[in-house]
Amino acid sequence: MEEAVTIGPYLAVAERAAELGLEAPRTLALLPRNFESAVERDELLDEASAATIHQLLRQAGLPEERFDSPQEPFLALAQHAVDWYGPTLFLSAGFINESPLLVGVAINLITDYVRELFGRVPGRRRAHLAVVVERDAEKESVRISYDGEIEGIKELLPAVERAISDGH
Amino acid sequence: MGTEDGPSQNSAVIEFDRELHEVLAAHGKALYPSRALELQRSAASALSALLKRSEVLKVQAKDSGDEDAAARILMGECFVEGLMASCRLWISFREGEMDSAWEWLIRGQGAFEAAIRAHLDAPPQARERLAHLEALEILLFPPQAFLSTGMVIRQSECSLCGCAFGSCDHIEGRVYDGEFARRVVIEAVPREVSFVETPDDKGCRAYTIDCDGVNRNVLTWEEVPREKEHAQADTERQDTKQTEAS
Repeated sequence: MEEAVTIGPYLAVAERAAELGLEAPRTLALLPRNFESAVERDELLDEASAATIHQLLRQAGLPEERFDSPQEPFLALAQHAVDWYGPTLFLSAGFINESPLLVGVAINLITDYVRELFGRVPGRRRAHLAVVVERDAEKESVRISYDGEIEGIKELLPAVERAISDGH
Repeated sequence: MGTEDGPSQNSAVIEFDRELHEVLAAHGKALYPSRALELQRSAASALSALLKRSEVLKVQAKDSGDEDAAARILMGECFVEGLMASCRLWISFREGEMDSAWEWLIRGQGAFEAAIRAHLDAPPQARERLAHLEALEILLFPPQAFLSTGMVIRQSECSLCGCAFGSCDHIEGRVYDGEFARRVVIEAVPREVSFVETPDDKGCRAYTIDCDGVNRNVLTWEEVPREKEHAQADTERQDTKQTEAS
């Protein structure tokens, strides 16, 4: 069976945010798709799905911090592929320590939405979603990515929880 | 249309179910490809009429404040659209209008998928018919070269309330008062066009191919004069819309 969850190192989000003139998120945030490579803030581009994920987090009352604002959101890339491309969810070290239960709430909120939208529909549609876990504000983070069938996206949360516990 | 959860008590849903049963009793036998063309045309017209009628019944359900009933009628509406598109697929196919047949095929697939997503109690027939149309895509037509357009969205709004997309409480893909919440793109900048295996829109495909200096229709392999090819895609899509409207 194809390995749908992959784990790899990710850059220090707080430092990268500072390079782009952005405030480092202290709770949870969505990272633009070119967060790693953008030269300046104006280049930042969201996945088309980011707007909906912002809505879901807001409606659930989760403490999201945005790099952009609802009034002036980043431009978004629509790929017009049958697959669902989610944004990258960033979880700060402070958020993980102070609100460990909300980690599962935030991830389930997104994965349940994807399954609600496409889970009952047969076909070859796949989902792509990543979570960046900050282990220490000064050090690099870990990126846990899911690229696979819609129903399998529920495997992302246990993988994130393992990554968090491995870091402690 | 029966559901896994039993019938709704809403009068608009009951009326929709009654009318759907009547149409299927009168025309259901015409939904097979071997049946007479005239019977299939008559069935397609009856299903189109029911599609229009469902809009009225959905408004009734909405007005009664029964959101679940409105969602059930949306589910039924999508199912009827799928049946109508399946019927027109065979009509176009038998008339030798292959580009049109393709358009009806993908419209039917989209409609059955929407029926499944519209309500948790979508009937198993919607999944079965979607599977049939996906099989027909492979059995009836040659492999297609699909295109996907990547674009940067500068401005978009909610299909339900017209607010800037993401600023309201309507979540894309969910059903509110019998309608799907969608993102309506107002301004976008094309970024790239790619050939893909699984596009979001199967209507976005190469219609003709240059083979040894001859321009050919991908579906029929007939020669297509070059001056006609640019108009072809628009014409076929226009045809499916006009046929349904009539």
